[in-house]
Amino acid sequence: MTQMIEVLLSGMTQGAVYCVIAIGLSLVYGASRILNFAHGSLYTLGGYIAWFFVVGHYTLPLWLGILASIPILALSGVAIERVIIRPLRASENWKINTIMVTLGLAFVIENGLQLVFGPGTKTIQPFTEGVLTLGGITLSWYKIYIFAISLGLVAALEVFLTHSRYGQAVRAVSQDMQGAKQVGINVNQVFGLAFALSVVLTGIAGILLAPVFLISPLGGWGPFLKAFVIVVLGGLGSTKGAFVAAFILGVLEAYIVFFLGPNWAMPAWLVMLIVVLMIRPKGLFGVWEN
Amino acid sequence: MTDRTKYTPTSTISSVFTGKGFLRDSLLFWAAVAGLAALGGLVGDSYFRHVFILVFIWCIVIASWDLILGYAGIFNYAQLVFFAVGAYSAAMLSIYAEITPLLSIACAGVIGAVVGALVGLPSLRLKGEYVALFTFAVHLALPPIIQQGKAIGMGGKTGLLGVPWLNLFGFQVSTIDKLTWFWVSLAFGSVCVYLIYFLVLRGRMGLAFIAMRDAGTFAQAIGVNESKYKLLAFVVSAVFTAIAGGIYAHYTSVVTPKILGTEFFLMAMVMLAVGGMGRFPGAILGVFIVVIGNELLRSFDDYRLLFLGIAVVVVVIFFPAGLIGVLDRRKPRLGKR
Amino acid sequence: MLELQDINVRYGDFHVLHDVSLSVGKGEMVAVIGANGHGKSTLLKAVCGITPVASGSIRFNGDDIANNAAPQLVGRGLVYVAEDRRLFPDMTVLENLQLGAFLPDARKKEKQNLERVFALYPRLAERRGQLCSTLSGGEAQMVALGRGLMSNPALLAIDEPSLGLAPNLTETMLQTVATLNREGLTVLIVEQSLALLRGMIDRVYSIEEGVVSASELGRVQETL
Repeated sequence: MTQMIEVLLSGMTQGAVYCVIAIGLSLVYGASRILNFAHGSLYTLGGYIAWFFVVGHYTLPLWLGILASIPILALSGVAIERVIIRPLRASENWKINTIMVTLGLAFVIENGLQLVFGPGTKTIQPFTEGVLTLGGITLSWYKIYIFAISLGLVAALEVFLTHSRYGQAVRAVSQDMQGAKQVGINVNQVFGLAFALSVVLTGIAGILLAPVFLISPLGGWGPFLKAFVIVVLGGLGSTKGAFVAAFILGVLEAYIVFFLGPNWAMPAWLVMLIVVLMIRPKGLFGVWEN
Repeated sequence: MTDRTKYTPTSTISSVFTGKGFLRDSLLFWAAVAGLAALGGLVGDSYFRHVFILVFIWCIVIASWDLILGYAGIFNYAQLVFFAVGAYSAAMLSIYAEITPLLSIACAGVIGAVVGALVGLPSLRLKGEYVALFTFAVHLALPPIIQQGKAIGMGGKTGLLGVPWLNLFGFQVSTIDKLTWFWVSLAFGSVCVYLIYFLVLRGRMGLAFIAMRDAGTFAQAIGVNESKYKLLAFVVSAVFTAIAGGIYAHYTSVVTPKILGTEFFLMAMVMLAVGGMGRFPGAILGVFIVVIGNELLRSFDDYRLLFLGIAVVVVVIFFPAGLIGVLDRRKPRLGKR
Repeated sequence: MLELQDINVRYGDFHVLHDVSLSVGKGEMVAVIGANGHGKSTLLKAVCGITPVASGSIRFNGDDIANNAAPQLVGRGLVYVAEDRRLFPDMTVLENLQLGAFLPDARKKEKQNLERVFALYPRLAERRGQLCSTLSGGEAQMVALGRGLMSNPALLAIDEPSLGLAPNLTETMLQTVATLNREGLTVLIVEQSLALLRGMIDRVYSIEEGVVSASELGRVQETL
């Protein structure tokens, strides 16, 4: 029984981090209707940048590593939007073009990382060792911390989106792009902001999960798929939805892995995706349809 | 005002490449094939032949992918899944059921059709980019499933070894016999490509695909049953690709999960991007360029995949219509693409 | 205040507006009347930076603004209220209105403008916490107009506010626009019929289809 609870808690922790990745994806898709297939590789990029500061080249403490990574990630997001996405947005077949180009970008990032850092896996030591034992249940402090950090990030983002002008602008563009233009919002700037936020969020998630899942060049596709299933289940455009969905699916994954082994994780996510798409493509809290 | 008198149905079907009608185009196509056949006979180098064998097999895959993505406008990213299904099915049938390879390949085609339908059915309900996500998820989820299949003889990570040689009515064709393989793969390749571009895409199905792609609601209004044609696109595309997979399995004698890996996927994408989708012979030219280019880049092995990725990004941004878009800019635009 | 000279707009090969010229003086309320499909929406969209202009000039307070992006025009005081309203569905009435005051200049006057909007449309004050996806057509139109006003416009370009609304509701709506015009707001309004606008407007243009061929679509005549 205690094991079941531990699996539950572990699933919730992972769900929290998945939530961060999913919201990153949802921000961009909501604002621009662009599926960023490079999202997973940016998760990986985050891990490597932090690794560089914490283990590889410097030996900063992890929190400093995260802080140092943030501006790099943010700039990457802006650069990607400006250089790669923006030229395509006006094109006739922008949907397929952006899918292709982000897929290509994903491979560029991954192979680039592989060339720079080598093909093996890397890891970052969690910033706290040790476990908390409560009523027979053991949970590592690290997991508690990343759970808290993730929730903090999600909350911070939510505050930003509802109370700051630029956050409201992001929501406005997501809900009605022309309407946003009509009130004077510079849509290009919003896209850049959405991308920057997206990359920062997913990059930090990559750093947080580095001790758990390790960092490897091609390791971004898993998180990418999971993030999308979460966004689909949660409902497009709904942060609350992504939140709820992330926990549900994170816990489900934890149980499936516990009973069937890690190899069934990916197929399980695929099944979950199919189920959601077939039963309720709008998601739990689907807000706006195109 | 657009001169509607010039807007004839056949001019929108982009397998027109001489602009002078079906017979001329067909003759030109088969002349090119004959030329390639002669080339295979004359150039004795086995590496050269090997590269072209790969080209011919890839042509089938890319032509099928062009059919569903370029012509029908369905964002299918599970194409290599069909390839893998074909390869594994044919291999397993030949090895375990000891069926003669040609028959295995044919059966692989049938199995491909079934898998195509399985992937297509859920996709019918999804709009555009969700299909991309779903099919890509299928692509991502397959390798672990294959690894689980080790128990049923799928060979796991190391793959399935010992696929028997192709048996052409009693005549065994070993992998080493590059010349025969050259002609065999050219035969299969050219027939499949011809069927796809000249029969399917120029016929009623092709018209329906293009209508679906370019003007969905209008197409429905004139009676194009979108679900039926979407499913058909998946099935037809999958059949040919699975057959290509079967051929590939018997050529290389080995089937591994690598065919679902980054390298193949990336190469296929570059082929479509560089060549251009939705307009014959764009994608086919893309195959030639990329396979040959890939071989030329072998010396940079570490950087090869990086180059391929960069190629996709650069080509899509600067030449979104691919090579064929560049070549065609001089011709007056027929139809939408 | 606003001057169009020989404006041409195309959608692909389709020539929608053909050499359109018109003007709106400061403080005027000018209407453009036309049946559906004759280019009146396109006209407003072209002026307000939503649709690109193929050729011709558009001057706003003397500055050439043709093909400027809509957000920039809002900053200059040219505000567009779309026929399909374009509200933010998952935001409340209040949030939509507040977003109208997105730009700094408008934001300075946010409080006053909000009070004014609520005074003009008391119904909105009542429903300020309601999500816009749940509003009725009339209420949505009020929000759209209100949001436009929050942007502190010098010229308000309104596209068919009566679309889908009952006549009495439309009348009330247009009365408030007329009131604003009397207070000094310049208005360019596009409608299908002159009926409800009589008495409010200073001048009328009509937009009509010319000869059968598509290239003559949208020739504008000035009628008084």
